[in-house]
Amino acid sequence: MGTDRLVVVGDRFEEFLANPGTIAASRLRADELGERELVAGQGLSGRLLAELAKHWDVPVPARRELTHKRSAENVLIGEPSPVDGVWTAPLVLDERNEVLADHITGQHVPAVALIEAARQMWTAVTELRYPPDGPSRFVIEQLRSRFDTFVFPLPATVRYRLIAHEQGPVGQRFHASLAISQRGVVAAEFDVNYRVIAGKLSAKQEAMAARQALTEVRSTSDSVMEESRS
Amino acid sequence: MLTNAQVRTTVHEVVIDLLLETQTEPPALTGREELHTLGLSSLTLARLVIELEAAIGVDPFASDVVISDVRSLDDLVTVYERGLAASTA
Repeated sequence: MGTDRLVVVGDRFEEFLANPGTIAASRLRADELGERELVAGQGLSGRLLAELAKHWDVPVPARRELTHKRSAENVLIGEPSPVDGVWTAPLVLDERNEVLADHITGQHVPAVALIEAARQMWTAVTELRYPPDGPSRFVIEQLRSRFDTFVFPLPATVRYRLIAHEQGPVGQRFHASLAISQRGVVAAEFDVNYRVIAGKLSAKQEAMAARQALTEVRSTSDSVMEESRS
Repeated sequence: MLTNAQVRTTVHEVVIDLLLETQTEPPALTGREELHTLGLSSLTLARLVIELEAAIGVDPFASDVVISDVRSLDDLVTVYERGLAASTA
């Protein structure tokens, strides 16, 4: 029976935890659940998910290096896998994630977390499917996003579909579409163009642009600077 | 140390090599061409600077010169000639 399922959610989703059938991660005692079925919601740490995985089918976070994050709690997706040309990964949001550091409004997962999950997804898929030759930088050229409905701290899925891939003289270019869905309904969609550029080349481009910007600001008259501040 | 003529030849050769990656028949270079009309993006320019540093041994854009100082191919040759002279002074 679906009503017997208990949804475990990170403590920081306080308002969502007021709903019946939920339990805060800090109150969970696996040995007291008996035969009750557990659903891993959002806000759980990788350590707790690994513990729960011993008893239930729950997602676990992807390797940090795939998402270009240094801290495990900042990983937002599970390891992507391809099915019929579409890469899929579970949303795995740790409540200590940097995108939730300031506050959570209401019961839903903030849009900024979904944007970051999409970024991690295209990064991870690219690392798996088109691994760069050496140190590289991922550069976003264009990102369009659309949010159709709330995503709550419940299981959710991130999907990546490659639209175009081009190997050019200064790196690889990608065009992809992504969707985050929950309960079979698409809640957010993204359309992204990004490049993967050799780290040395990207650093040189950035350094030249930074020096150019600084030179222009230093030589700009005070009146123009005042205008830019107004 | 490279002569000014060798610096000019090197700059032109590296530019042509870069243009050949995206154009089947790049124009014959006179030196008067403006860099943006050659189709060099900021990323391609960064690559040009990296390759010229390997070939000539200096990167004038690391300290003294900003990219807006360089309009034409002749300007680019000049900053490398000056950069090379300064590095050996």
